[in-house]
Amino acid sequence: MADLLAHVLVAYALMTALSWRIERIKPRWTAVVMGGAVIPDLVKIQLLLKAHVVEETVGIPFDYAAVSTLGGVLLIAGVISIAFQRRYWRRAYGCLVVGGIMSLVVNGLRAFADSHSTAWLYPLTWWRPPTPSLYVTSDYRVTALVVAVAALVTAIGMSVLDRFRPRREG
Amino acid sequence: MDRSGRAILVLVFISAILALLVHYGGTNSVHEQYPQPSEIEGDYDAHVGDRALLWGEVKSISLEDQRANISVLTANGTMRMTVDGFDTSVQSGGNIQVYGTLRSGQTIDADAVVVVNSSGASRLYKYATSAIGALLVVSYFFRHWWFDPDSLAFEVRGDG
Repeated sequence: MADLLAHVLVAYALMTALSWRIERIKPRWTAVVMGGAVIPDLVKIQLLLKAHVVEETVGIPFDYAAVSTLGGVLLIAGVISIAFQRRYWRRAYGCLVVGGIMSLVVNGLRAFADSHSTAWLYPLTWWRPPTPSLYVTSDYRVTALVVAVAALVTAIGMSVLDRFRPRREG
Repeated sequence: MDRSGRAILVLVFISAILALLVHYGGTNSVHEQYPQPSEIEGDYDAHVGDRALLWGEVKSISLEDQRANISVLTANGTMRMTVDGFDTSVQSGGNIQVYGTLRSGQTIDADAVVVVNSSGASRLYKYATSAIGALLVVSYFFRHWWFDPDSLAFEVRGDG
């Protein structure tokens, strides 16, 4: 699992950079995309309640790994979007799914010894997409790089672009 | 939509999420490419010659011999394995992935080794950065949204 900080910052940096071009991407929706980017990390619930404990208690198979998949993102985004006002549901759902998929893609670049990522496209397929094995999550250089990019994007957004776009958008 | 309608939708989604976790748990073993640690431990000799992808904690390492001893989590506890062809620097206590061929004598001939955590301390690093990430997303979110207790729903902040 790539760390949550990297997921949140990748979503922030991408959406903020896109917002320079696309007027409709406002910071409030960037915030929702960042929230969506956390969805695959909810798999960490297993640290609190182990899957095998659930299996033994309820007597049926159970695996949190599905949270870090396309199916998990699509469903968890659904329940979260209902927490918004009715008129925001569709937009919130779209943003949450975009954020979740961003994190799945970022996770899909992690190193695996057999050069294939997890089956994160489940339930569409059990195929494990090939990974370029770019990084391992405990590598602090990954975090440093993402923090630097996010800081750069923030700086550009604050200084240069505001000059050309005086109207402040909420 | 009224409150009961929302409550029903929440229940539908939560049921679907639980169903997904159960479906995954019930079917992933069929789709595994490699034998799982518990299967290997159950009948090691039957799996000699099989390809395997194992995750383990490094117990000891000898770079001269290109060997490491790792302990692999199984359903019943842990299984000791020797990794042959180990040429990566890692401290004992670190976590690795190894991909290779199972040989007799609880040994895996490594084709590739990936260091997941180079020492026990890097796990702490991951949790610490994740906590910062959680704080960041929560604070950024509530700068732009607030929770309206009357409608029990998130609403855009006036200035957001």
